[in-house]
Amino acid sequence: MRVLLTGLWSRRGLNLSCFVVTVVAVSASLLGPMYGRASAEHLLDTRIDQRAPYTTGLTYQVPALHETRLPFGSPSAYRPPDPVQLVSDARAATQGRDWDRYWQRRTPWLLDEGGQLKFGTFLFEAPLYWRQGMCSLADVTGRCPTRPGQALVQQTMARTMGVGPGDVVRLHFTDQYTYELHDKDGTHQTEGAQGRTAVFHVVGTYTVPHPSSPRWYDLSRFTGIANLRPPPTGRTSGGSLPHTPALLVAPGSMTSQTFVGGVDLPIDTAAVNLDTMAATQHAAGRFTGMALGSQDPNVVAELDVTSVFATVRAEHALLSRIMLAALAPFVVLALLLLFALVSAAAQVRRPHVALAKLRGHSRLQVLRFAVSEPALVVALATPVAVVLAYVAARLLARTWLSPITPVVADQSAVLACVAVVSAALLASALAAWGVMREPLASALASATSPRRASRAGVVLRSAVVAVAIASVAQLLTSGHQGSQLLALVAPLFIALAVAVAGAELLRRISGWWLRRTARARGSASYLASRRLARRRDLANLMLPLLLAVSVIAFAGATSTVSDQWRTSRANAEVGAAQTYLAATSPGHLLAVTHRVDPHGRWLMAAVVDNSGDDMSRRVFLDSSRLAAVTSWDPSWSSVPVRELQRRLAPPPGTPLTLTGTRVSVQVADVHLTSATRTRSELWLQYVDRRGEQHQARLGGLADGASATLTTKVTGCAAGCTVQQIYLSGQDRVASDAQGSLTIAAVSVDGQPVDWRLHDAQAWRPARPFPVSLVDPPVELRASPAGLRVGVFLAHLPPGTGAQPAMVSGLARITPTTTPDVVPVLVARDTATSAPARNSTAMAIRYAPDVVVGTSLNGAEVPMRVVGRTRALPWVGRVGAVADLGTALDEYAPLFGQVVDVQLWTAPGTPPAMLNAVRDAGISLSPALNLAQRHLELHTDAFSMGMRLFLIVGLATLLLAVFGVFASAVLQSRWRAYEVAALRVVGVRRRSLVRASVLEYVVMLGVAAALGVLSTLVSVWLVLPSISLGPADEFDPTPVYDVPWAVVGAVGLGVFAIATMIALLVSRRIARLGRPSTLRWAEQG
Amino acid sequence: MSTIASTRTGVAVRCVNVVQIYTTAGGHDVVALRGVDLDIRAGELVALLGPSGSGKSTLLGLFGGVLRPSAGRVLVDGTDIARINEAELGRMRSGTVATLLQGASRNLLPYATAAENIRFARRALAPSARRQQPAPRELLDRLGLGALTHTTVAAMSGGERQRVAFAATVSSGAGLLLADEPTSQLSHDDRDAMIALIRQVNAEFGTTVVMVTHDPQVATAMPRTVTIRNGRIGAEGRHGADFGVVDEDGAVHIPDDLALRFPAGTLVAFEDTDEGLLLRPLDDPGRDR
Repeated sequence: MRVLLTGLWSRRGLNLSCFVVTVVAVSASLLGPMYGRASAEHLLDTRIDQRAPYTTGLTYQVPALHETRLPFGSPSAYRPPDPVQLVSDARAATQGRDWDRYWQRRTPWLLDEGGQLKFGTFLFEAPLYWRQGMCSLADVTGRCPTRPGQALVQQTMARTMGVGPGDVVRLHFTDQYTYELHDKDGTHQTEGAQGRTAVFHVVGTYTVPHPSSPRWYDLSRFTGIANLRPPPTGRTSGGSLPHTPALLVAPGSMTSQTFVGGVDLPIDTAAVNLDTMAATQHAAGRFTGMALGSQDPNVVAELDVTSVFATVRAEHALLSRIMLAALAPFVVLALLLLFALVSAAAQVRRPHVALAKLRGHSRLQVLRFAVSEPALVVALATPVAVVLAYVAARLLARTWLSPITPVVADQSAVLACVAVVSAALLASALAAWGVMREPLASALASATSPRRASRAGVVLRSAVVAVAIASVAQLLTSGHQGSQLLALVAPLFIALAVAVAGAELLRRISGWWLRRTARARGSASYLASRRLARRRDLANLMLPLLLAVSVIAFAGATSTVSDQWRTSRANAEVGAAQTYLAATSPGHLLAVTHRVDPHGRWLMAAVVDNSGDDMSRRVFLDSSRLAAVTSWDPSWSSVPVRELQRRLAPPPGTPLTLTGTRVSVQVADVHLTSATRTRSELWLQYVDRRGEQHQARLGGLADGASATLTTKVTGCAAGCTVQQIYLSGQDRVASDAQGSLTIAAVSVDGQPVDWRLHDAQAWRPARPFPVSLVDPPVELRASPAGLRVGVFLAHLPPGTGAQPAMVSGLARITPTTTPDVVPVLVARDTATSAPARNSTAMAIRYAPDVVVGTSLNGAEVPMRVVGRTRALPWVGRVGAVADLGTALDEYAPLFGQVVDVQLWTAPGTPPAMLNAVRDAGISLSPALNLAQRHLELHTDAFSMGMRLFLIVGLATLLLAVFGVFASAVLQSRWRAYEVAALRVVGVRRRSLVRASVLEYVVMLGVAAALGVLSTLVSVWLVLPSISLGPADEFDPTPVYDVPWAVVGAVGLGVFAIATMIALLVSRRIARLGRPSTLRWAEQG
Repeated sequence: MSTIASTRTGVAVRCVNVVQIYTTAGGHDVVALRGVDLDIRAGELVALLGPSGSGKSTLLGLFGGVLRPSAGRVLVDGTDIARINEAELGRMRSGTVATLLQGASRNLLPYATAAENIRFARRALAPSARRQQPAPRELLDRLGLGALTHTTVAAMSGGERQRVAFAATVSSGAGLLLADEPTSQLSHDDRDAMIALIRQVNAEFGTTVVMVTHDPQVATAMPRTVTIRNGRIGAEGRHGADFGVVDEDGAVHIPDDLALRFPAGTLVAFEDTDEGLLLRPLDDPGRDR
């Protein structure tokens, strides 16, 4: 053993290199699976956190009154159960059967959804809610309700309703009962209902800072939206609206027939891990079976741990594949370097092995003698590597995942470690065997004789090239159905093949270079080309650097493409830095944003609808702020966003306005007939300064007479914008009027105003309403007498047949500042169609770029495609974007139509801006956050894997640089003899240094260049086959362009490193290569 | 403690028309030995002499089982080395033949001590044979190297290394010691000490010693010298007297000093006289007289 240790120490440089490389290889083999496992555990926790708690937690509820047990005779016969007993029953039902193991302790609650709250003309569902510890979970202003009849009101709701502590809120309940009905058929048991009012005294207000946290358990699963949404202003009638936020009450307030008691058991992320997922799933299944038999199936159906676990398993599998793809080249390179180093060490020990053979040692003894030293190095390195891997995995987990993420070595880690250690031992044995099998006479000679390329080597190199070609062919022919693992490791095969081919190519080029330089005067080029042409280890020296460049550049390229895609997805899904649900009308929000942010820097109004397909997936936004506010991704279009914004904008022009309180319209030459004897009326549509749209009845039209029709207008003291004048039946019902009338003049508050009624270019027929792709049933002609309006309701202008019934309701005219054909941006994968040309209802011929679009009110309208982009905000790769103002002018939402009105804000929007919007009476609820979505997308399995891929790529580069440098330094001693010999025959030192630098720069530079080439091949052929992660149906597709900046930077960086190695090694060789060196060689 | 004498017996070596041909890296054949016949008796002390490239080391390699003859027979202790396999050759190298390579460092593990090198040299011996050998310290003491027992080779002088290398080589108790230039690059004192060691081993243990040397003084000290020229046995010396050797073709090499008087191509006549065989060149003036 002492001889072994002293031998180890005597070759400490080499052995230390072997030790380092072994530590690196074994660490990597362990680190990958350990980090992969930790990432999967982290993903499991993250995915559980991202789901609503009730989809992963258990909820069990017991109703106070079963509907089959209604009180008899009178509601007063009902005796409500003790709420405490009710939650105890629920608690008891959830005892045992692993539910305590994987889910947290039970939180009892009581809920009554039976109450209704009247506010203005609207009726809301107003739940009552009690949850254990609710006043500590919510931010309460005032005090916690302790007695029946006390309530906390949600803060926004309190503000909207104008209530506060001391006020009273009344809820209306309907109690059911059964009674006996006696009629001619006999006596029947039937149900009755009786209303009652419950009075609650407001003792304070509350907000819930984290409504979706497992502790609050997301009450919105029962109550719908979390905010009271006041009715939009400008409406005149009411209707039923969704739930208000719950009133928080004491348990004693639960007295109605409709309350339920329940318990929530949030999932315990500390107990659920990859190993216990299956058991958890099983337990959830048992709970579902139990609960289905006794309660509302809808509540039970929300429990869905299966899909969470399936997602995590899929992500874990993806992560494992990425780990393997990242670590395989690294481990292969490390083992190759280890083999090169132990081979060099074996060469150093060659005389000693020969001595053992000379002393008659048996084959086994020689093998033991030759292998023991590198095996000892591997044995010493392994525990160090294990500790290092664990520390590194912990560090990575703490930095990138979470401090509590467990780091364990599972079976795959142990297997990988054993495989790499075995491979290291095998490499040691192979290197020793190479020396052992040398004949004794040859081994005793002082120099090694050059070996010819072995047949096995040729076969191996051919196999590498064949595998690379086969894997690429497989990927190209199988499309996206191919193996992801193959796609991920294909770059390794390609790099190996390029290395083999590149080394052969360089050898041939060097031969050609040698023949050229042999006749030239310069000795440096000649010596460099001669060395390159004669080197047998070209592939061995080029491979590490080439492989490293290929790995890191490919990882960088993949990561860049993936990052850009995720950024594009986030931009498309969210639309802006932050979006808010705005509880107001689109016009109001549009007006408020223009008033609060006149320069269009921060705020933008939008109406979104992504529920349909193709052109019905649409966003109407304030196009003047498209570039400033939306999260427009540069990859979506080569056309600058400002240019697209310009194309979307409505045509320039000054809108018609009115300022005052009364509008009078003088009509003349009214000649209208109606087959249904419907009396026609004239209406004015305008928008006030608040952005609210108004309809004002000007008056009925008497046939043949001239008249002045007058109406009162509201909100126009400071000016309103005229949108339309239209003719309808009485009270805006459909009309079948035919004929004409002249709008002769208009005055406001008695003063004539110029509405350009004599200008044929100032007005145009508006599309029918409700709209269809038919010609407007209106003809306009300007004359000195005014604007002559031809009305063709129920018949087309040429009178070639009846119009569809839905079209024939209204005849509208609008100022030409509202475009007839709306500019629209269309996402690339959106199917579009031209308006039908053979319809008998179509007289207008649209230009080829006009397609059938969907208006704000859902009807089809002609739209002009002003740009096709890869994706668009909110709708992704299928859908359209048009200007909101234009849409509102002609196609405003129908009465009663619910539209999703949103406020989009730019990054860094000052809070004062949002406050100003709220001060304008608009309730804002945060909807989506770009940074949050970006973070979510960048913390999925693929992103986490790619991050490690990059780190491993960098480590591969460092390892390769270390290996190349160590190899060059090891060779420098015998290279020094050659240099010394050349100096003795008169070659200048400077020429020798230049020759050496040239040789290494060419060799390593070619390796770097081939690495870049290998990367480009991989990016072009392999990258499109790699799944960058799960995507939704409408997400933008990845852009597989070569990130030249990344690839170029890696190539140049490595070339710079190669040049540095060349300079350092050449200077060392020149320093060692003195004539006296030859004397050492003589002395052996 | 075992006694050295009880374990030692000399080994005889016999060469019969041995031819050795090397193939160079370029594929050319080079004839190193051309039909060498040589008998070395057990316990004999022989020095192989000759110019560089004459085939001395090749002959030594054949005796040591490092090489196998291209033709002819090499019998070591009666065993034809051309007819045994590698394992048997290995066994022969472990116990029967010991080779001391040229250059002390090539015979030693430089990072080990003298005692460890001796143990390393004996590792191939069967345990029973190993037990019969003296302990390393005892062997080194006997050879006057006891002080170096625990000294690392790298810390020894050139002469010390050479003597330790010799000790390690003979430590296996081989009956045939082959030494390639054992005195080269040594000072006069070290050289004399080395010769003394060789004589001591030969005398005390009966070990047959075959030694290659260029040093005339070393050769003089040897009872028998064999001179190799151009791959053949050119001459032999016995106790200071030189003799020509008639080979199987009847050819005889003239000693170097006489060869100067007989340039290549000289025609000579043989006359059997009372004083012996007279060699007379054709243009010898004496003939006219």
